[in-house]
Amino acid sequence: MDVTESLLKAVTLLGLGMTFVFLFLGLLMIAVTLMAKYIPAEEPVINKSVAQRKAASTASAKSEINPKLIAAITTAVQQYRKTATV
Amino acid sequence: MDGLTTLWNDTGIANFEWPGLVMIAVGCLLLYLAIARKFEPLLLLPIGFGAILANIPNAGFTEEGGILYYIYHIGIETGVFPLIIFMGVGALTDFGALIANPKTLFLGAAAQFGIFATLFGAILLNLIPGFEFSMQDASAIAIIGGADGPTAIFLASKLAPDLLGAIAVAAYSYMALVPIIQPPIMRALTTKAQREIKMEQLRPVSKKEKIIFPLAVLLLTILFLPAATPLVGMFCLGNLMRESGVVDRLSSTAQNELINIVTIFLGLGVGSKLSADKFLNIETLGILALGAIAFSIGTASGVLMAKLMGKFSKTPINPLIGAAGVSAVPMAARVANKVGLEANPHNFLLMHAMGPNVAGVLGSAVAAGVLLALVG
Repeated sequence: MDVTESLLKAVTLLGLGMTFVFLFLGLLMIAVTLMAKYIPAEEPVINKSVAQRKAASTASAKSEINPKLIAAITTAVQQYRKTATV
Repeated sequence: MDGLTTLWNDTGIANFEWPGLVMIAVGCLLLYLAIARKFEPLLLLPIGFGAILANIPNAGFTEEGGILYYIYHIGIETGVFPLIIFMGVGALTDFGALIANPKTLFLGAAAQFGIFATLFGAILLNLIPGFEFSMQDASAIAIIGGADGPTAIFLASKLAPDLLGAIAVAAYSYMALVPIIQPPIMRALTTKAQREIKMEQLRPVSKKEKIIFPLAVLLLTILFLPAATPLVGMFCLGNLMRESGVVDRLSSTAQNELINIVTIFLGLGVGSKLSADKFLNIETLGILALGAIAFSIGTASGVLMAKLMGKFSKTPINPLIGAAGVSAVPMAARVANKVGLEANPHNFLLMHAMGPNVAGVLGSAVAAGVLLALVG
């Protein structure tokens, strides 16, 4: 294959490739946007037991996260105090 | 006396040849970069050591029956190792930032321009005597611009196995050099005011969205680009294991033990391809140069795309996050954050840059699929 022929092929690849990558990720963007639009809207309609379970799970999740958060804030405050006194 | 001569003939000293010694030196250089400079040590260390082992005279590591021979043929030639690593990367990736701001997918797409533009460079190099890159070779070299190690190794093992060693070394070296390559390009293409742009806080993303996301990606790949399903499919599997929350043990294995074990073998297997006859030629220099070009073009096109999107977007977009579109997770996002902080010490772009960063991983997997489908 001579260079001009290869270059022409590269032009085709560039065009096709970039169009395809954009189309693919563009479609994905549409899918994600639709997901964002419809999925949170479902939540209020969930029946009570699921909602309760959900609340319980988020509560437990919260309690899981909280100690870490508290620890982080405490160390941050301590560090700040140290630098403030020095 | 005969015994002594035989023994002498079996020593390494009697059998060293210059090309092998040079390759051992290259292996040592990789070890130095990994240990002293901390350049992608997880990969460059086993690759460097593999390069040393592969070039020991009379040891037969890379001949049939040698361990490196089997590691390469079982894991890399088949494409298994890069795919397992990709599953681990999927399990390590949080798509939250991308789902919260899906526009950043376009930044990940734009940065793939570096891959396709480099094809021209590889073809034009053929005009110089000594270079003979076929279309397959050119595609495998161009994927370095995707800044994604497993993708580069996967594609190279399918399209240009002879160049695999040089391509993998170039890909990982440039990923380690992201903090040096990217900032000058980012500063050259943006004004200080643009770098100071503050972005709106990202919305919280529900667990359901995070579970559906990998499935949606997989569905699109099945429909439009089955050639990319090995890469994307394994990636989505890892991500679904992470987000579903029901297989924490599998998810943690994929992102820790499994990926670590496979990384050792992947590194050794790539190192085994660093033999003198395949590496010590002018083409390797060409690959290193083309890799840097691919990376720089990818960075530039990401930044330019972000500037363009910023003109039309209702919400402000800092062009620096476009540079993270070249994947190289999470290094490129950290670089965007750092350059942003230089312009405005109160502007933290890390989370915003993670969106294009993980979009870049998908983008390069899709680009690899396109190249496989059209050139392979």
